[in-house]
Amino acid sequence: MPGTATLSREVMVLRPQGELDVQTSQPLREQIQDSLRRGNTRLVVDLSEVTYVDSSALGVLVTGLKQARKANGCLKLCGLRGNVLRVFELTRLTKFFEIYETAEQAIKSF
Amino acid sequence: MEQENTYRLRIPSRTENLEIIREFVSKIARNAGFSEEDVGKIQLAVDEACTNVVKHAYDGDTQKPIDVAVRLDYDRLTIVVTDEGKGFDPKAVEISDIAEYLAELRVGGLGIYLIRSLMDEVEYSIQPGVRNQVRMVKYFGGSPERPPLSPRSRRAQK
Repeated sequence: MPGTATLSREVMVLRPQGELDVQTSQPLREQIQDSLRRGNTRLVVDLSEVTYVDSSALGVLVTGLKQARKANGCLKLCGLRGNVLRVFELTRLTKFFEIYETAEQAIKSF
Repeated sequence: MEQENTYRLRIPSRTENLEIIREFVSKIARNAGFSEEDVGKIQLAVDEACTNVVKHAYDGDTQKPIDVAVRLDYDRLTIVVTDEGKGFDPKAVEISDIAEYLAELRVGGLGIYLIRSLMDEVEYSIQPGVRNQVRMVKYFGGSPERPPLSPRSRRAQK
């Protein structure tokens, strides 16, 4: 999962790429943990370049949301499409995450 | 499973092999004529079943095998994932109410829930240490309730 992490207006934007399964979602888990440890508790995960997620990746995001909330922050999502969006709909996780079309909109929402 | 319509993959139980399993299954499903949406569902269901094997069946022994068999029939695709590990009780990890479950932001057991949601039929056969199987079926046309088409009428529809 090569990807980028950018701090924009005090919001950490994480952009994983490719397929996120039990193995390839681990770097994202580390990026989220690392951001929270450094006190960046406002997180946006941009999934626009992610083509696949399984339940392990969902677990990483749900855990991240839980931890960010605990630290008085939040983890928001953007850029969901195709199969990735369908998995979120199927698991009804669309109701638990704040989801935006673009990273810009997600950043502005904080 | 009979031989002629069946594709088989035996692969070590390792996380890095999940991508190979996904490719294997999705290529067969795509070639069989499933929509991209259904191909996505099938590959996720198989990925979840195999992830369960990698994470739980063999206590981390990456030398042990996962067997994936994909059978193509005129009205359906059947995938059987088999391991020889310690097995589990599918009922024990069943999520009865997804909304309630997620309200607590829990995550374990989500894979089993996904498999049930993604496929038309799912059956488990558990014999710990001998043979544990999950059998998953996806019908062409989406609905298991729909009367199956004969091979001739399916060809005519194409």
